[in-house]
Amino acid sequence: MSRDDLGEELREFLIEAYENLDRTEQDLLGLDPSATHAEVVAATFRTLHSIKGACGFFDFAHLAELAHEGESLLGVLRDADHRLDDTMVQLLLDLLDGLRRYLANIETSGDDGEDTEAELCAGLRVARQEVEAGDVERNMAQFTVPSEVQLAPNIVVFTPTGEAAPPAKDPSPVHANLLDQAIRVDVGALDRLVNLVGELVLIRNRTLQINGVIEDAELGALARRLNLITTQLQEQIMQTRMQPMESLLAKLPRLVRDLARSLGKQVALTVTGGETELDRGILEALRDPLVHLLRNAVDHGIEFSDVRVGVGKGPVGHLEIVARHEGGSVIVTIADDGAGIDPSTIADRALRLGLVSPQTLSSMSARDRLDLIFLPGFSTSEEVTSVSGRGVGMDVVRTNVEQVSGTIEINSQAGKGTTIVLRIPLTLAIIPSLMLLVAGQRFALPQLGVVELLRLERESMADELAFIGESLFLRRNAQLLPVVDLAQLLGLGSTEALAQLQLVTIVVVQLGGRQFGLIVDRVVDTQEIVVKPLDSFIAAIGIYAGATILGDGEVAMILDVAGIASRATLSLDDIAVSELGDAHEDIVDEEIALLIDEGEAGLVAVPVFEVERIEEVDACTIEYLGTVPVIQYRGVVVEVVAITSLLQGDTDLPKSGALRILVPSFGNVDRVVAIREVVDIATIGGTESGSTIVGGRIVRIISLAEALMTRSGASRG
Amino acid sequence: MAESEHLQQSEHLQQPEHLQQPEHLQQSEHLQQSEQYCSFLIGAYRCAVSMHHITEVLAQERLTPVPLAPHSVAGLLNLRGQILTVLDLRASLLPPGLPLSEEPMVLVLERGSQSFALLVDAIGDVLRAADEELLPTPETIPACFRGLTTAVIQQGELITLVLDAERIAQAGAAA
Repeated sequence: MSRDDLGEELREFLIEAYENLDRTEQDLLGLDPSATHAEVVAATFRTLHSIKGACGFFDFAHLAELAHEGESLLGVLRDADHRLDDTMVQLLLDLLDGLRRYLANIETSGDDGEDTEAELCAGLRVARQEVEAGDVERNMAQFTVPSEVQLAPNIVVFTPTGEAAPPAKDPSPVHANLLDQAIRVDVGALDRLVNLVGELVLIRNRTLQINGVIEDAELGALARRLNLITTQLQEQIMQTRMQPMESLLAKLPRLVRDLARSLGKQVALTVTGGETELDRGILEALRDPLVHLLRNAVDHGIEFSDVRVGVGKGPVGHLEIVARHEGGSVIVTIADDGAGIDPSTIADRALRLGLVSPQTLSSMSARDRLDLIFLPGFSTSEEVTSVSGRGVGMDVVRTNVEQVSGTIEINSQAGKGTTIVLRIPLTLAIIPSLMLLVAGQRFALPQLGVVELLRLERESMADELAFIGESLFLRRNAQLLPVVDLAQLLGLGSTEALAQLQLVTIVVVQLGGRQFGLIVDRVVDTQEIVVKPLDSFIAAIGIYAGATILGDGEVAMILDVAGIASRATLSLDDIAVSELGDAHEDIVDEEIALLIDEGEAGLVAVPVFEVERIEEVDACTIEYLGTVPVIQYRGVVVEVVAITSLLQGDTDLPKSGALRILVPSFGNVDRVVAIREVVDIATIGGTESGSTIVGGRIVRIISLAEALMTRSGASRG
Repeated sequence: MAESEHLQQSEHLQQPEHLQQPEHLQQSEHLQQSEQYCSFLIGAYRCAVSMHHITEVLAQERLTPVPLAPHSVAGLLNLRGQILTVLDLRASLLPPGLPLSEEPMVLVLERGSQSFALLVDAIGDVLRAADEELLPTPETIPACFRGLTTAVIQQGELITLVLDAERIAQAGAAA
């Protein structure tokens, strides 16, 4: 049975019951000193009572029984003026969940189904008997101090702001007012309205265009009025799609509470800005990322009480969610005062996982390193999750946020805590875009990802652009950015044409932490466009975010930056390799080097440009050709040289465990260098072998090219 | 709905030989039960789709090409603010190299709650056919058409393939 088949009364009942349960849950969780327990108990009682009453009407026996047991318990609690301790609150929350399960059953099948909550009913009965039996005194004695800490070992403090006053105090007048002033509107109807307004906007645009051509006073006046009214209508309709974030945020205290409880942590959650309004669709899309971030914060960020006390913090971890408007965006901040994230740990892991090359890493700020947490694949390694414990699924969070054209920013101070800032547009229905011309066809590119526009004259092209192999790169701020010829990517043109061009227009876009360029014919203008969905099999091509209708009535495809990047198979590796190619010329005195900890042999520095990549292999895959240790690397048998043997003559390689190898960037790879651990990146003077001091420790510098050449000379001689 | 344009071409169109059947079937008298079909041409093939599934017939406007789309996609069309995918099955149904007619038309078809459009070479008459006039698809119909065809209608010398809107949509998405 689908939702539509349910009778109108039943639908009303379900909606109201869900709402009441949600509100009751907030009451139970929001047990702050200002709301008395008696009020909360009374409100909960009313909720259960009304559900029970409706059950009589609809004949849901099991639901009625559960509601009845709950109501009886609440009745006793009310009469005995019993304080709600943590166990009781949990029991009542379980009761709400049980009721919701029945409601869900009714929603899908029209019936409350089997008696699945017998255990819960029994629990409620036992609790009631205990309270009745005079445990009241004991509990009273235990919980007399009206402070939040006494309530439970795991506290969730929920501070609603604005209109979300506890309905427990006097729910009836508020409710009546709401009912008088508001009606329920089907979301689908709202969506259709938004679409129609989108059409009207296009007709307005067209009319204004025509008005520019035909000079007629009356038409001009009409066009201006049409313009004015359309703009207002658009604003109003957009407003109707707005929903306070309360509906999303209100679910979080329960989540945090349950999570903290299951982990045995103490977490106090503060939520502010629930009244901040956001487009319904975006709100929906924000749910998963927000839940994920909170989970991460409680699970990995906030320490256990004893650890916290040990480092001089209070035993209760604080988690704060703030939502507010800023410009045309909504900013959601999630801050915890937990352990924080160390950028160098992140960088180290990313390096070991091969997600980033040492070259790229060496030019990265601490901020950029922290952002490595968002790389796809960062979270997939078990080693990472168990050791660093952070960044689980952060790439997914970022993808979700970017899907609604939002951005995510992470700030963290090791030991102090982590703050994550989400910046979300108010609405997605209309987005500012660049209109591009590619091979004569118009395309829209959402402005959000656009970093800059470049026009290269023929003379400067050679300086700014470089072919490395088949790929084209743009020199930008001492970096090489991959460049994609959009016409070629779209199958509309070829790069031969590029060589003939007098002028090249490049749109530099940003995706995640990466930038790359798109070659276009030219940028026409910027427009606010209405995004229209595509048929699924066209969306499946992967490079279009939708389509839009232009002022002249024609359709233009909206390009999707992420899709283009993946189609062009841009990867960090490409960027790294390209930097390598040019690194040699630019280096004068200073050199960026990998710092390698060789245990007893001390610290060793290897110039970054000599290393193509760092691989992790299992030591037991090392075979011996005679006495020469070899390993299969990319289908080729290569010799493994321990880095220590370059320092002090031959040394043994480990026989088991993980082994890291440096793959040299020069010549044919016929030898790789085994190391223990890359610990950092440092700037050192010169590349000649010798020694230097980094952070107060003596570091020996090894030029792989030199050392390997000497060594091969020696072994041949 | 746009006026179905009478197709002069179709009357003296040379039917592909395998479509010509010698016996002349009597037209049914029971037209109360009949359904209307909009006929159109894909290359030289006379096809039809039940009028229940057709919401509109348009002269082909400028379509927006969709780079990298399957070759069954002729482009996108703005139909009063709704963006429609226009399918072109000619590439998969007809021998290669056949040019599009000079005045191609676009049929707007409904498929459940979704609409899509089909590019055709020309629009023909509206046919009326009773259920018993719908004949099983002969084996002689090329295989690519047979997948889309639910029945054929023979009226006089003309054989019309009755195509299914859902199957057309699927063929377009699969190509």
